[in-house]
Amino acid sequence: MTKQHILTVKKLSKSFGKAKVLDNIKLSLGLGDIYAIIGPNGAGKTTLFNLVTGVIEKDQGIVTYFKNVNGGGVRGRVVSGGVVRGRGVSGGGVNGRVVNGRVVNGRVVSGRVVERVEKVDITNKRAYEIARLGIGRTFQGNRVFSNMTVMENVMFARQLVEIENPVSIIKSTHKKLLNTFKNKSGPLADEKEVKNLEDFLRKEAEYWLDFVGLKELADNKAEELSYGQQKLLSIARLLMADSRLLLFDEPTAGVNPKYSSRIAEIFKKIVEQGDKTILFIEHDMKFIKKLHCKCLYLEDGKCPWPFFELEVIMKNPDIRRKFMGM
Amino acid sequence: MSQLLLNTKKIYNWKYSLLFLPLLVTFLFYLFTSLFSASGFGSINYPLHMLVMINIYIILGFSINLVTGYTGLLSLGHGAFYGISAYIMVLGLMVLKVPFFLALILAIVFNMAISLLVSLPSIRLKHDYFILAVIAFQMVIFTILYNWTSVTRGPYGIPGIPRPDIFGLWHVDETWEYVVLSYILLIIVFVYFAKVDSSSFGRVIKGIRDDELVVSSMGRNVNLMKAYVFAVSAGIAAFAGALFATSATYIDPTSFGLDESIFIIMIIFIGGSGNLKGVFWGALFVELLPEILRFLQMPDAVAANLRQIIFGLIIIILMRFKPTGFAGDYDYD
Repeated sequence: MTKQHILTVKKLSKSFGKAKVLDNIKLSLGLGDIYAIIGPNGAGKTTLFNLVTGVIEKDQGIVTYFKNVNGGGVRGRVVSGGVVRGRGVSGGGVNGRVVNGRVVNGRVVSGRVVERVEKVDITNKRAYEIARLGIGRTFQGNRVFSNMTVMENVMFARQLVEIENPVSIIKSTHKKLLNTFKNKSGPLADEKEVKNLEDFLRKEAEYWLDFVGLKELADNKAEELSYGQQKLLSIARLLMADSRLLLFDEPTAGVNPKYSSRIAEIFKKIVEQGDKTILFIEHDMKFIKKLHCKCLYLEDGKCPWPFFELEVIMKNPDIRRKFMGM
Repeated sequence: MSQLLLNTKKIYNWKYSLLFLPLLVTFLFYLFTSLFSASGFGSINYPLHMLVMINIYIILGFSINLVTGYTGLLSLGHGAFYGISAYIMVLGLMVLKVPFFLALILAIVFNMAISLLVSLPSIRLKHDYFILAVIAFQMVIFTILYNWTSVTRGPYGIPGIPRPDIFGLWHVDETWEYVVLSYILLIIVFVYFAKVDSSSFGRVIKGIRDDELVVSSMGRNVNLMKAYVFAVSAGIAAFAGALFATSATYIDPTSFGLDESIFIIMIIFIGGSGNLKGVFWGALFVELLPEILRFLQMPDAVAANLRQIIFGLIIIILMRFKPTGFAGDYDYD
């Protein structure tokens, strides 16, 4: 089975006044992989993130996102990362990629099969529309909601557009909505003991806080956390959003080696699920080496080569001189 | 004992105790002023009227808290919404001759519609420009109320506003009955806010206050949310406008000017914003301070000016030493 794409970018360009920040960028990301973007300061790395996520408008280029349209529930044997051969819950054979699969002894006991993949042109979409499709991101710095608790920060991230308006909060649609969400996705998809939507959100937020190692700090205000802990919080928040393409802007900047290792472990665990892709901007070469991922080198708004292993890129004397100062 | 407390907490949510605060503070205030007054215990109508006004300002405080405290949009136009609803209420009761609650619904809907007219074009404006747009709206509404004399009677005001009649069963006439009515409306607003405070909607609007960009990158339509918030806030202000018009039985535009908008926003600056309790403390403070000054037997003219000076000083001191207000969650610093 050929690797499924999750995002492709073609001829993407952006100028601020006369300064061309990105010039004819082309890239393609596969599902379930980790990719890094490296390059000197001012190379246009964050601008690339901003363009993909719709934070700023594009001058030209096409950005395409490959959205999963999920089908019914499935059980069966895992053939390779995320692909299952087995039977659908309503009968009939299934051989395909599974999302939110719970795997026990090499068998998927619950999950939903991907019925088809839909190409969505996100070139001119707004930031919130792109996020709703399943592209989430973190920002340079931490940008956590400092006045909220750690728990609230994470609970916030789950999109419940159906009830996030001033009228629906007084309606009693929460139970119906709860089932919709449980069926849709998330680590608590099969949890029977969830009472209501708020309880569901709390438990799921607890799961992700535990995942990044912040469960004990759930009731603290976000501003009370250290810089490194806030980084972990912003990762937990993004995971709670249940995005499929996760963009991290300098995830280890200003973080001590202990937290940096923890973040690397978290990244590995995320992609192990097989239905999430990570793209991150990083200056810490040791961190990238830990993840054994492919890298895209950006310089002066251009990417002269496609994704390569870090070791291959670093053999280039030009890059060593310009980027590493060696 | 702790188990008993836990069980009690399950049955009764302690945040609802806040509703007793105006009653308790007003009673204590009446008790102390009477004890230290040479004339002894005065009419009970005086503290009851004060309680009605406190409840009106708590409702206004909740209204502004939603926009400014929860969502972070500094609005200096709530005096206008307060005024529009009071006038619509009068129109409903005196011209259309509809019952109190129908007139109230009319005022709420009208306020919400007007709020959308203001918010949709101005919501994209950032920070100071948004504030200026809302002040401009406040000025326009004041000018209309003041000069459209064929409808509003301009500076002469509208006297003889009828007392509320609730479904023909209850004619609200006495001051204590207004206390009951104001409490009914306050409880409706409070229960709504208690839900907002711990809902997904509440978290999203608090997120907008803290970092709009992150909120939109998490899939939320920030502009739509702001428009929602502005409309609901204007709708809540209508509760206060309706109560004020029918309890005072006379309104004129000077009650709904820019200074009233500043007075309303002071409730959350002083009491604190972004939660439920700050509004109560703020409204009690702004309402009781002039009464305390009156108790000090200052001439009325001096007391009014002194009130402004004291408010100004308190704001400066609070911003310097306690930017969250007395009991707020959000730091304006």
